[in-house]
Amino acid sequence: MRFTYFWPGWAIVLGIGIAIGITVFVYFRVARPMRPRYRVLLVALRISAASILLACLLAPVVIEKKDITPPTHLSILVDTSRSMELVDEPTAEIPESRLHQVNQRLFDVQSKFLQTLQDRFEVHLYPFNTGLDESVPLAQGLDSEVFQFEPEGALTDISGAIQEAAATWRGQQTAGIVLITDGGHNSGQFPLSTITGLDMPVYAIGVGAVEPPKDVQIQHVDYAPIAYTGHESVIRVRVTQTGYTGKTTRLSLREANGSTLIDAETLTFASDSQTSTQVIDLKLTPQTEGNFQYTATLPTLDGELTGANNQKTFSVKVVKAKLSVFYFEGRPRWDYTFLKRVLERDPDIEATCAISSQGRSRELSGDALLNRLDGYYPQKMPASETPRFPETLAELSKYDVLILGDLGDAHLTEAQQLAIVDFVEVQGKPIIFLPSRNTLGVDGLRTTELAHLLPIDIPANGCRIHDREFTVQLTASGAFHPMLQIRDKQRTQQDGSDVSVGGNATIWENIPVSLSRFFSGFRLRGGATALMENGEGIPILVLQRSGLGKSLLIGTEGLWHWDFGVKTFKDDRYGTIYPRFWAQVIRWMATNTDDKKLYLATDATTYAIGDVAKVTAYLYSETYQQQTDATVQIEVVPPEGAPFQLRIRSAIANTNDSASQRSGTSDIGNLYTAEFELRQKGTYRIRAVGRSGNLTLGEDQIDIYAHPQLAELAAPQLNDTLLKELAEQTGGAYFTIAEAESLPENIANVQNPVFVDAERELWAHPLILLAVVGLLGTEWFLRKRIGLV
Amino acid sequence: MGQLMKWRLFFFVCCLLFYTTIGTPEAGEKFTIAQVHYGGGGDWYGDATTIKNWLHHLRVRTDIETAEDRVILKLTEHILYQYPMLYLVGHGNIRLTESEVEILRDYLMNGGFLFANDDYGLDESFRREMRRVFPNKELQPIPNTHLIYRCFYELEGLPKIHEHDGEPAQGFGLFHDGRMIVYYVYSADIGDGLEDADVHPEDTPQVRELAAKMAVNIAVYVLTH
Repeated sequence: MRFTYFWPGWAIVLGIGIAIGITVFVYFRVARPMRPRYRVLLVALRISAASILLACLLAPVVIEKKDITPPTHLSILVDTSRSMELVDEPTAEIPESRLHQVNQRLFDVQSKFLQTLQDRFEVHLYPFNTGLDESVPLAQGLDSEVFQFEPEGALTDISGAIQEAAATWRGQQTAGIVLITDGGHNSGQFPLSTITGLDMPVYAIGVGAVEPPKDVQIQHVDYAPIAYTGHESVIRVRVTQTGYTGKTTRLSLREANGSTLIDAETLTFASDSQTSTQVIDLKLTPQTEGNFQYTATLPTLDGELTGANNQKTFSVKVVKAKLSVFYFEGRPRWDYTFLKRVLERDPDIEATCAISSQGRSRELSGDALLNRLDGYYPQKMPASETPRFPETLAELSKYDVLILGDLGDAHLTEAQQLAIVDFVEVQGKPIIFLPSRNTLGVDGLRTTELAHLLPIDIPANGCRIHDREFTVQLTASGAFHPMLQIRDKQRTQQDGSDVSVGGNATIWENIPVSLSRFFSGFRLRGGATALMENGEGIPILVLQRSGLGKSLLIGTEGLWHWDFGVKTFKDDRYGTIYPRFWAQVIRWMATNTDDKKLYLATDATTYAIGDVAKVTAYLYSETYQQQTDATVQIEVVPPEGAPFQLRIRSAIANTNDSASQRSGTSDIGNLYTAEFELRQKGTYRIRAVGRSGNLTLGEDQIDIYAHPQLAELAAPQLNDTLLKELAEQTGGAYFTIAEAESLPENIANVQNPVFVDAERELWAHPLILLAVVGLLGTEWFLRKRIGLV
Repeated sequence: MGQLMKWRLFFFVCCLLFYTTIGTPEAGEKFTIAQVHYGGGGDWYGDATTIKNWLHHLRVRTDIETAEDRVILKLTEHILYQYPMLYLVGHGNIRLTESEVEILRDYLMNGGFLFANDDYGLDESFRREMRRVFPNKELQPIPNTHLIYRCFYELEGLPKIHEHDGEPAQGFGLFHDGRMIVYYVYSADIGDGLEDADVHPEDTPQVRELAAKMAVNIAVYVLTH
């Protein structure tokens, strides 16, 4: 006890002294005789009462320890992604989904699980899927309504949910996190080290069956985005099955919006393993031009987990006929060897390859066959059938694309050069330059009629050759250019599930082989656009419009390195990046040979619902100059509902930005980007219009397709390995849902009691009053008895 | 600045310019041929001047931009795929390890080419190893009408450079997807015919010229097919 009203010691002593003095003085002046002991007793009673009152004036308090221990929080995270609606035992008497089991066994009013936890902890209940939702109210008593979890999320982000829940109660006393899930994390990486760094035990309750359920799914469809009328294209479908060993089914290919059967194949699943993958080739021979969607479908089998992953829809642009390509090379070199092989093996290309020695200064010896062939290297026997470069425009016009290799100024006659100029500028055909020391040297094409078809100006003393290794980088224009899109948005990883991959520019920068020769000293022509550079700012791929046609320059030698020996970067359809690069370059150059000034492109042709489609519009002038006073409007027609306009990002002229710097968000003068989220299943039509004032500069439209998000079905079984590791690493524990009742007693009590000193005032305590009244009452009683009153 | 210092500075600048414009020769796109360093005890290192002279002939007689000399490598070296053409020569035994067999198979099926020259005594082991590399392929005789004998110089067939056992010069090929991936010359010894003149002084200039023409044809054929 202590006094909270401070008086100096002398004042207290003085006060007590005065009280004693007055009391003694009064009682000893009483004239009435009384026994001394009564007198002393009366004085003592009066002084005691006065002392108590005096002490009360000093505000006495007692110090007590008060328990202020805060509540211990416990977050319960419940997975509400789509995989939680799966029924692991469809043949059971009462089939139960995973989430239904959770609702019934853990959160029912009769369940002791939640009640036991609530008795010990401050419980917070959170549903989660792609993110952590708001906490839901807990049932209070048997009569209150119980919250029922419903499956709704298209993806599962376990790590994000744990981190968010931990952040919510950071700094407060927390017993840990109870995680109720099937472990199907499918939203990016799972940073286990980050979660263990939270220093918070995770108690995982696994829901679902560990054994993969019976299921058949179309994992991936590999196809060429461009097909040709009357020409057969192969659609390669990868099918996986679990639990249907030896079963026979039928894979069909149909138009997405119709019932017309295009092709079908009967397949029998392998009988030697529980799970197997097969690749089936279907044939597509479109008859009309346009954009089409096709769907590959497998029927739903008895007892199958779900039929949602039994079909895939994809978009194909159909253009007319097979492309006819003439490749004219100026000297034997590996670039010719490998490119010729690629062209000859591409079923959509009819290639004619010629190689000439006309430009060489040295005389050939008399028995060189090349003398009789006017300098042409024979390509096959008989040598008389050796292809030669067309002499006239009429002959050249038979071809859709012209590739000129490392030619010097003497490889082509003036008539042939003029024919090429007309081929490009008047007929609107594309030309691709694949130059090296001859073309870019002093005696190269600099002084020929072809010079102005080149998108670069060659200096009078020729370009400088650099023989050193480099990796390519896409420029701002190149990162979105259709020619250079080397990966679809969704690819298949080793376990067969589809995953999103990094940006196109990143994929190019990480090609595992270097190139080793490039050229410098040249200048880009006005209107030319660099799509790729060598990392030092020197253009490697340059595009420009030439008259009605287009010209592309590949300013490096040794692209064949992208083909030969590349093992770590494989393309499903083309084998390596090299044939894919050439296929796309030739097709894009040949397909858009009309006078179109606006082109639309998206980062993929097929998306999952919830994905964001990135739309890019290129607006060119007649000479590929940027349209400074132009506007572009992009409209989207969804499968259902009203069309809507996209918000275009501002166009800022900056052709030197590297792709990595801009990260696909800023723009160059002729490039307009926008994006939108796909929320419905079906075909989205995207239309773009470029205008300058009231003048329409160009229009284009493309179709893309959105299918249901199937990531939740890629690996539908319970991933108890992940959950056990998560529990072990964080100091928690793993339980099956059947064992969940025992979880509460396994959660360590981390409560640390907290006490503080609390003061309790005594002056108003009833005992004080009782004591004073008692003392004074006794005194009065004695005085009465003595006769003083 | 002293005169000597000026010369030193000039020399330094020249060196710098040379380096930045020419670069390292290994990194460029000049055509060269890699000679295979194999195991088994055979003299893989033979024909020491063959490729140098071969490249010289190509440089002088054709438009092909070549390096100065050969590259020697084992099939297991990671730089193998920088050289789409291999040269294998020897007199004795050749033995490939299992991994070399797989590497060579991949190399050839993915676009590489092997020219093998029996210097005398290589035939048995080379055929044995090729059967290991391609169990389902057989070396096929190449007729004299084949383009490899016509693609630059018109030859009547495979020239015979050295006598060996007196058998006629024979060329054999292995094909994959219609492309010749191995060209093997037996009892011809084109490699010896390309050596410096003082290595085999008994070879007449006419014989050596035949070897040079065949060598040019082989390289041109590979580069144009």
